[in-house]
Amino acid sequence: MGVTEIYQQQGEFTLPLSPNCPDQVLHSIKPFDHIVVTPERLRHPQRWDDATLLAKARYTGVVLQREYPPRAFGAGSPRIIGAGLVWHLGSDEDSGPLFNNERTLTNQGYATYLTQTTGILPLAIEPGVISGTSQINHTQTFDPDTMPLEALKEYAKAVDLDWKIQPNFTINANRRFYDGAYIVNDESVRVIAVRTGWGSDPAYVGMHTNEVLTRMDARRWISRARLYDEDLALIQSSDPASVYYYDGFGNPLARESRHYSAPDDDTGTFLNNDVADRGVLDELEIDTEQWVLSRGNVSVGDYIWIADPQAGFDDRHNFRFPRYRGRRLVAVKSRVMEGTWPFTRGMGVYHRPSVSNELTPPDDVSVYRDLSPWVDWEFKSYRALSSFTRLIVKTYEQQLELSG
Amino acid sequence: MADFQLRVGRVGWDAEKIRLGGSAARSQESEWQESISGSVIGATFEEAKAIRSELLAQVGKVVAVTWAFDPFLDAFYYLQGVSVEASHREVSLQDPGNFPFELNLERFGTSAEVEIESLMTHAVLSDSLTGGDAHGIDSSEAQFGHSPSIGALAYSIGVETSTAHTRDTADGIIPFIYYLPDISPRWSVEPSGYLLGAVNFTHQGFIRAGHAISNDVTTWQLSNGLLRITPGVDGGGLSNGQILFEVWDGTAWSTPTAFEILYNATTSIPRWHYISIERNTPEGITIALTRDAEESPATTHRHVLFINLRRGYLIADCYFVWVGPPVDWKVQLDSAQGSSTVTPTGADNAVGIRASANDASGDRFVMFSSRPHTADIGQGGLTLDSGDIPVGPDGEQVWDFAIGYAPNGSGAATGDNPDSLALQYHGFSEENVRIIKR
Repeated sequence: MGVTEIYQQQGEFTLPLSPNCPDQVLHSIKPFDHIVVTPERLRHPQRWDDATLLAKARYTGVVLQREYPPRAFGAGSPRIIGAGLVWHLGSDEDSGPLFNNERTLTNQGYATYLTQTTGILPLAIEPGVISGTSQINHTQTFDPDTMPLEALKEYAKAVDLDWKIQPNFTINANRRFYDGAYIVNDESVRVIAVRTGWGSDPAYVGMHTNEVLTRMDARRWISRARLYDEDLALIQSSDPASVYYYDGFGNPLARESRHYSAPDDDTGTFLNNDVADRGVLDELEIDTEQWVLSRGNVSVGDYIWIADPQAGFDDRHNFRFPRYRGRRLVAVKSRVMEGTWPFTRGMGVYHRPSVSNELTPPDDVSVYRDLSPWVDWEFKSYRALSSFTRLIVKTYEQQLELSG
Repeated sequence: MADFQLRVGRVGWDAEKIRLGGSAARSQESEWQESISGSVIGATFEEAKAIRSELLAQVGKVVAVTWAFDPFLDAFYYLQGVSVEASHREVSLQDPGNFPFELNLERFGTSAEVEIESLMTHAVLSDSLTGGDAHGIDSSEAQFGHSPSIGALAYSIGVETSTAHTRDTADGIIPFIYYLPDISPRWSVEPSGYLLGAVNFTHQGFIRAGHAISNDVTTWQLSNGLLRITPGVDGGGLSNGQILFEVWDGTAWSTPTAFEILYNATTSIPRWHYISIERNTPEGITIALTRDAEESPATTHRHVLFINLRRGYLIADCYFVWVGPPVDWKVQLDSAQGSSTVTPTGADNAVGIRASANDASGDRFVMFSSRPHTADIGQGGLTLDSGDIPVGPDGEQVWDFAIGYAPNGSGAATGDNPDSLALQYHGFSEENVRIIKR
């Protein structure tokens, strides 16, 4: 239930509607329509225009599923299920708007890559604020079978770009480790998570951490990736993993992955990426109050301060010492990789149908419907219990690997 | 007896047979629980019944609790549960009532421990469908506003700037901050003062704390201490479709001014059939009045008037929804007052009207609409052409307007004059409140 946002992935949402939602409203929600969520309810949608509503939205998701749990002779709770707007770049089901032609961009900057038709973006996502701080010009050729999401991730890795899809169907981007798409700079990061002693502060937004779970997960770790040909002969190996572990006799631990095919042009990178993507996971799971996420004090992909020596984030060189509530904390700046927050009373939930632009102008607000009266709020009071709101934060090294 | 005055959010009474239970545990959800039990005894049986219903209505809300006998209890709480019994043995059902009650509270803390954060979303009301008579007010010109409780201190919007102003309400002087940036202010107030300046909805003589009311469309009052809104009632005791507005001008309530809505811009709506509360919080109350459209011949349409009053505002933000074939609509004064159009700084066209001269109480009414309209400056009214009213997905016409007052008319302060009120109407803000640890 609620909204789960994952850094540069489509995530998911499940919107529970109340059983007394009129059929007229329920059946008007069609596949690939959008659900727009504002942190406060902006009342009747026809009082606004499309740009205003989308600008005030905290989240926009695309409708992929509608369920009406059958219950004999009684009301069931309908649910609207879908994904975030990254879905428009290519879905978890591996379908999306393929390029269908070869595109070559020679020595170009961010803005040229992040355009529709000739660049990476599909028609469903428009360029937003593309900043080019210290940008790297780059030459790349995309094959006709390219999915925009793959292209974007590959390109972003090559030129050190960080990007985010906004609720108004635009993409913001800037060079990684600069403010722009996300809140990154030491001076800009104003949200702080502490294990105890949470509260208000003139300079920082304190995050109420009800429960902090530090997780080390080595299940997926590999020491090397190997590539075999049709005759099962080893043809190439990756570099070894940067961190070594040992077995019970003190031998280097061998956990190797098998591949039988790889892109022709850059097999080595492909294999090395496999190793990098499968490091030992160090992450922190924080249960907090829903406001922090649903209000947008922090969004998935932003950095926050974590002051918790017990958390075991051993990124010593990245420590800072913010002054917070009369104390000087030893804090690590870490990235929020995932967040889940509930639909809570007081929010505005709107249905934005996707209709042909030959019939209705795309910015025509007259098609909007206010779903707020029919939402079966996961929190009916203004007080949100904690277990529904959760952030997942990864260590610095982990962030570098995942953001590629 | 007053020593035992117990207040829980919007209701207060002389509680008897009080029993307190406190428990503290270091758990995930809540650390400090309080339970209070005793008896609800009203001044009258009617009041006791109202206290019972309004206690129940506040479950799930953040409430300020004060108990004169032990100020240590005075704090902000989350009202987790309420039970109110009526028993023959306790003589519950006779005047003045005697209902055994029990409250379960989660303690947030006193004003030394917690402060309040007003979570705000600002947006400028949309102007026109065609762009012809667009109001042209943008988000830098609109006066997004906010009022904390009367007596609020340590109001903070960080490094941003805004204009601090005060207004005289019937409860005292309330801060009103405008040109508020897109930020969520934090502020503090004593629990005993949390509801000072709050918006109140009174129905059948008692302040209501939730959404549960009986369908009485003639005995209600919506007030924030600055504006007081009541229904028009005809000689037979039925709703006459009009809405009466009064303003507090520093010393007294003004003489009410009646407003009416005209179907097809000619026929006054004669009566409301249903009233409901859409939202009921100290920072804002929204009510809806619904009417079956009595056309001739009879039709299957309805119209709904939403009135939204916020804490500290001199205007009520209204919108009207007509579910039926497009027609023109008009909102006007029942008895004519000469008026002039209002074009505040930043507006490309007139956005409403105001009285040209002070009325008998020395104040001036204002009426605005974000939609293109024609001002009737003789009567005091705004006509909206059906072609300028946006239509929703179910064919409903939705049009915006606001009614309010510039208190003390020509002598209204900057911030209270018609130009400012117009910019405060076009800059719509919505607020949710949370309690945070200091």
